[in-house]
Amino acid sequence: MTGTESHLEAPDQPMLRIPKSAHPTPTDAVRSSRRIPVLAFAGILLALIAVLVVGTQALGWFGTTGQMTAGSGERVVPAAGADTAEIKGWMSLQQVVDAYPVSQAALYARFAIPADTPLETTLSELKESGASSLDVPTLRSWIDDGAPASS
Amino acid sequence: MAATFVPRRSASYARRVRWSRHGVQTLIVGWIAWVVWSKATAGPGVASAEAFCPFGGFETAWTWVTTGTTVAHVHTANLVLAGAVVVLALVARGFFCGWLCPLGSIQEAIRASAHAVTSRAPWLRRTGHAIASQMPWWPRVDHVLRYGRYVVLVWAVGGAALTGVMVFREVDPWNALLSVAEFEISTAFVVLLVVLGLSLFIDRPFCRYACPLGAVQGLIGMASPVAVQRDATACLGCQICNNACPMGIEVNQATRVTDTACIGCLECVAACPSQDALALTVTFPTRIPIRTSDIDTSDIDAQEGAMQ
Ligand code: SF4
Repeated sequence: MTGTESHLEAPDQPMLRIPKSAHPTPTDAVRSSRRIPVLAFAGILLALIAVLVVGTQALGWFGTTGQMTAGSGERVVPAAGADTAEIKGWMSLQQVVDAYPVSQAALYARFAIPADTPLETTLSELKESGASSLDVPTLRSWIDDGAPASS
Repeated sequence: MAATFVPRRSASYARRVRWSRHGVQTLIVGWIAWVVWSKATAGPGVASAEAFCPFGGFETAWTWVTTGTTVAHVHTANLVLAGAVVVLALVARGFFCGWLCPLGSIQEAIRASAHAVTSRAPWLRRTGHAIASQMPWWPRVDHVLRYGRYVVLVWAVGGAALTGVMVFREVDPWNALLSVAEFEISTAFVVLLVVLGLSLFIDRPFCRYACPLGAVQGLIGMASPVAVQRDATACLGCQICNNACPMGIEVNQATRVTDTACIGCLECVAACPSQDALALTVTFPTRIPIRTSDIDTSDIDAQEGAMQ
């Protein structure tokens, strides 16, 4: 944009007459610049984000549940005594029993978990299988309300 | 300046720019609504919509660097998106806010609905103007309030770094919006209601005064070579651009719109009636020392005089 493209005579293109009363603020110093096609620019930026998200998803770096550790990308298991809000669907029954004051027997009894369910089963797998009434919000409030720590 | 003619911007250009942006905004809001719905109905294991807020990445950055873990409620997706926002801000300033942020889009939609109502009820418009005329001090208050988002930024990032807890989450209207299906009355929910209520009267109130992510982008965007540029020789001085800007930037005073509040929505470009007055441009390091007041218009004046 050099600022010298105004016209005196109206060609085919619709024109606007700058009124004599117009006093636009002068533009100070016009930098060397190029116009960018707006829609192409927006399209390129959107494509860039899409590539980034899809790429990091493919590499396993786009975790959307659970805290992660750097490098390994492993989920952080809540420490013993942690807030029950930290209980997530990816956690196994064993991890819940280890991190919170609840016994395996009480957990299995409260949520009607079949006795032969391995402790490695995650809460999500259990819910999806329909084998138990367990769901994370109920589990959280049950522990908050003082679940039995021993059977 | 002598009266002269400049090309009129075509209405179809304005429509294309506006509807492209609104289309992208609608898609993103729809997608987030779907994620929230899935989470509410399917429960654990489903992605949390919180994972798609880039600000979580900035809040956890210090903890991530020093301990190798994220703070609670932050996922690696937040970090990836924070990186994407840094790149976007370097290239295109506040593009994320103007085109992608769902909370910004919702505020815009509420404001547009309010405009639609007042445009059909002249008495409401007149009342609004009457109230505004009683508040000559508002521009100064608005100016001061705009520093609020930097205060929030320091508090949110500093608080998370010092305590390992996302202190901003408790008042974050975005977080409240994501939990809206749970009908939980919290501080964040009250903040959300205030933001949505204010959106009826003020363009993007949260973005203007309190959004820490907008503050980050404004600061990083200072290094961006891309900006809307105004050409005074094609400018009508009509100030339509100022009225179109949702962030209240005085576009008609700028050569390049480098205000840290710019969200890259391009509403000013779409609204400007003069085709050559406003354009999105990329600058190169060299400066050509031309001042519009220095441009020799004597030949134009002479020709115009001859025409009259
Ligand atoms: S909208 Fe702004 S930039 Fe465009 S002609 Fe009017 S004052 Fe000038």
